[in-house]
Amino acid sequence: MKNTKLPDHIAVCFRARGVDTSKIVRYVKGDMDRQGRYVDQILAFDDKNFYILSGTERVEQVKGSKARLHVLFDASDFVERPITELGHLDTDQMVATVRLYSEKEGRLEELALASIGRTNAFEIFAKHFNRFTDNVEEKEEGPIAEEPDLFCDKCGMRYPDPNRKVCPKCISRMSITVRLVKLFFKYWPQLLMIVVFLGLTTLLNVVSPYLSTALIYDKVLAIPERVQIGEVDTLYFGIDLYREVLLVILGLLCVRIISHGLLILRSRYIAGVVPRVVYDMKMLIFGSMQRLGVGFYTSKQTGSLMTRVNGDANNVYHFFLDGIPYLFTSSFTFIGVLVIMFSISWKLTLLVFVSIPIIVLGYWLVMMFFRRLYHANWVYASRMHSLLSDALYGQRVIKAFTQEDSETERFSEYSTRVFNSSTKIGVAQNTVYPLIGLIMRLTSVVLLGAGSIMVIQGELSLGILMTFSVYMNMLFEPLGFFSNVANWWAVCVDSAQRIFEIIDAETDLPEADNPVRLDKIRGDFEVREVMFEYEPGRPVVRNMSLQVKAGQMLGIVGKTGAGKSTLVNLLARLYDPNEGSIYLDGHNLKDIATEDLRKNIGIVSQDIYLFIGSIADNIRYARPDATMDEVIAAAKTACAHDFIVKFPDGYETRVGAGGQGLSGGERQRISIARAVIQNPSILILDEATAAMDTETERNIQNSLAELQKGRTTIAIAHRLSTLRDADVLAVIDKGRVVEYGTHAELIQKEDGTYRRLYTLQMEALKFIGIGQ
Amino acid sequence: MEQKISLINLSGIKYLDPEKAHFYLKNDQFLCLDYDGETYENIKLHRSIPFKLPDDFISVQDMDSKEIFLIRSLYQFTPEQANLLGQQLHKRYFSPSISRIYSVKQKMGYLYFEVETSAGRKVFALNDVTRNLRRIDDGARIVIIDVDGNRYIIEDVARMLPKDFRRIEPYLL
Ligand SMILES: Nc1ncnc2c1ncn2[C@@H]1O[C@H](COP(=O)(O)OP(=O)(O)O)[C@@H](O)[C@H]1O
Ligand SMILES: [Mg+2]
Repeated sequence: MKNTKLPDHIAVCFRARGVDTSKIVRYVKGDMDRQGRYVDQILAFDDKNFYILSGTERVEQVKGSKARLHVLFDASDFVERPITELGHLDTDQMVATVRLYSEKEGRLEELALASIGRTNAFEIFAKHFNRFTDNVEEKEEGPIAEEPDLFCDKCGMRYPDPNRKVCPKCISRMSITVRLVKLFFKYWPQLLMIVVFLGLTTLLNVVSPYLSTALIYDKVLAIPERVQIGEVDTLYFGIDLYREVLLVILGLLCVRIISHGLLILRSRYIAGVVPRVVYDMKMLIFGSMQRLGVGFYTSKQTGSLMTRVNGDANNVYHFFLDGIPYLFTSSFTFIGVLVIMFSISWKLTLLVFVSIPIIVLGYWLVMMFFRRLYHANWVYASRMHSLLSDALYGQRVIKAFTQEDSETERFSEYSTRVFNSSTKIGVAQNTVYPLIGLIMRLTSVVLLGAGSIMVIQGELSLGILMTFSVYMNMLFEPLGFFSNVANWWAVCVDSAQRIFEIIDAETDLPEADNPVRLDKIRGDFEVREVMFEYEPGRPVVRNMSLQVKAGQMLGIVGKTGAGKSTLVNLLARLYDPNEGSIYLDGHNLKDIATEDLRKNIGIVSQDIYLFIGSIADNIRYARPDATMDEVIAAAKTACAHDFIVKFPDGYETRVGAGGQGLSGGERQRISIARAVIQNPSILILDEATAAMDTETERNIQNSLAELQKGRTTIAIAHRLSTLRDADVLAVIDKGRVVEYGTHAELIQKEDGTYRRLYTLQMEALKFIGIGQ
Repeated sequence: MEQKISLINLSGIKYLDPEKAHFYLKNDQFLCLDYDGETYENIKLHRSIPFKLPDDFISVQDMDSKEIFLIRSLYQFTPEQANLLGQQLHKRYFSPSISRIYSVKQKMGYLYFEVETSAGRKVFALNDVTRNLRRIDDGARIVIIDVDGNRYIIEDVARMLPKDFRRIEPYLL
């Protein structure tokens, strides 16, 4: 979004105050006044003045149209100042707020205050202002990044994910439904088959009471009537009567046999279809999980992810394979039965109808109530799970600090909550459902009374009354199901919402639409004005630019927390920069096919993760088809071979959670071997040898030096001796490159950081008698 | 006891002596400090224990975010000085307190709040409730951090309207 043209509703306010809005150079939105109260603010400037307009922005529905909205701005305050009064603009990020201030000849002046989320926008605004008024020293800074379009057009709410212009608030439950239907649409033949089976069964179900009750009572067993019309003989001889009985019974038998046959067929069919759908669905979810960026995993608790995937997938497909077909047949039954009932006796049907709204209302209330309870229950349960997995992974730390009791207490507190909320659900269910049942029974008692009167008065035959009563129960049956379906539906939407969260989260690191395929990557990196933050408002890498030429080695040094690991994670595209771009071989990293990137970039990260499996499996993780010779060669290169063969199980030693314990240095060496076997064009070593003794490190260095030939290598290290082969060095501090150059250049810099570090380390070495 | 004292010596923490310090504002909103004959301009205050002890252990930092002093407690100062520091902290740690919760909705894994705060009405979104909705002070106080990094406080859960409490209850642990 380019903030150069004021939106119409704001321009109106400016024009009303005599400002020529066509001259406005730039504007930015703020959200607070200087006393820290929420207001809507527009800061803007033109070639003469600086303006601050405060007021309230309102969204109103256009009359007569539900979907169309228009925005109004009620101005309450307006400040106008000549820009010559202001100097260099800058932002001052405070803990939860940001302020825009001007600095002119050493005099500071606060101009505006805003909440921290506006930091980026304010910075951009300040840069533009400075450039416009020539208050900037480094004029050749290149283009200024634009503020990403973060706000939903419809409701003005911030998009939670700036890469996706989707506003969860404006996505309705309907749209989740539509997505779900689409997801299941490819199974339509199966669904259709199930519905056909159910439709036939339902049809038979609706017809059979008529056969079994009305026919028997009124046609077959209506003896007095038959006596009257002179059929008594037949009764005595029994021929006609027995034939009719036989026919009716045979008819009933047929109906029963067919409907049970259909039931069996349907069950067999569903049993065949369901596992495939389940499999597809889980593949879809797991597939998305594989594609997710690291950011997703670091910001979501594993426990809640795991309960989601299994439970939620189950909920959704059960709803679609059981719920939807049943809903269909229930509606079918309901309407069919209703039609028959009306045609039998509209008076009695109306009587039944009195109770239906009460029952439906009851169910509706139940649904609203249970949706909340179920959700709460789910939240508690998933937190309990995440605590459990936390405790399992952290067992050693817990024990080391003798925190078992407090952990147990924490867990028991959570599980009590789960227990309580489950109990609540149970109690509520067992109170409400019998109450609804009671209403149904009452209705049928009243019906029996009214119907009996009608029979006595001759308006109705006994058989019809019996049939009617059977139908009434059939009418109530789907009502019960309808209530369940609402409940079920609520759970399904809840689950679907979370599944879509996983499926959608893949856009964390979206693959370009037409990714550039790079078979062979040379390894020319260019980092251009990159800004990155893990948490909004707290940039870890700021305005960083640097270059690495193909085949060269870049050494990175800097304090802990300076942002070194973050930088290399950005280079490997484990995260995407919030601003600026990274180019590899002239292509934006975002445009390169992820597969090619992963194949060509080997990263030995600071915190090493070993998968559950053998050491060999861990080493050939990136290339599962590698031969054992290659695995051993890689291990040898990484100086891991010697210690591996000392294990009783050698390369088949199981590592990872619950397996053989390895020292930090051993893990690092396995991890290096993993990168070696991958044979990547770009090698990233993030303090890869930090946990090793000096001698091992030197050995690895020598073998890595061979390996690094012709590859771009980026190495982070604290021991400067590790970086002796680096072609260029970058010193990073607080997310910025503060020094950049060759060893020879940097060592020349008086009071340079590198020089200081180098001298310190040399002295230390001399002190212990190793230095030259 | 001895061990603790020597640890403080070892760490090189410089506690500020309120007797020698004079804080004042320059150009309206920029905090400065005269201390023992030296002047520090445009300094920043940081709370070390922002939720539990908001008035104790205040770090005084220079423009490069390097700590120059640590204030043991604001209560050591004259009311007028304490007031000045308190206001600065309040501004930096802007976190409006929530008085009413009109609605809490969960959509696509995000929680949407509509609330009344001490700074006015506000609508905001949370992503990852477990991390961004925290109970402190044995659960009495709640801190909510929205997608932009803004903080909101619920001062006392027990004093909320019951219907407001029910809206957030499922998310509290
Ligand atoms: N996953 C994360 N979430 C939030 N902040 C993080 C995360 N990883 C690192 N940081 C923060 O980013 C900063 C830089 O971290 P890092 O790049 O690991 O530093 P270095 O490798 O230079 O020691 C640190 O302040 C750290 O707290
Ligand atoms: Mg690191």
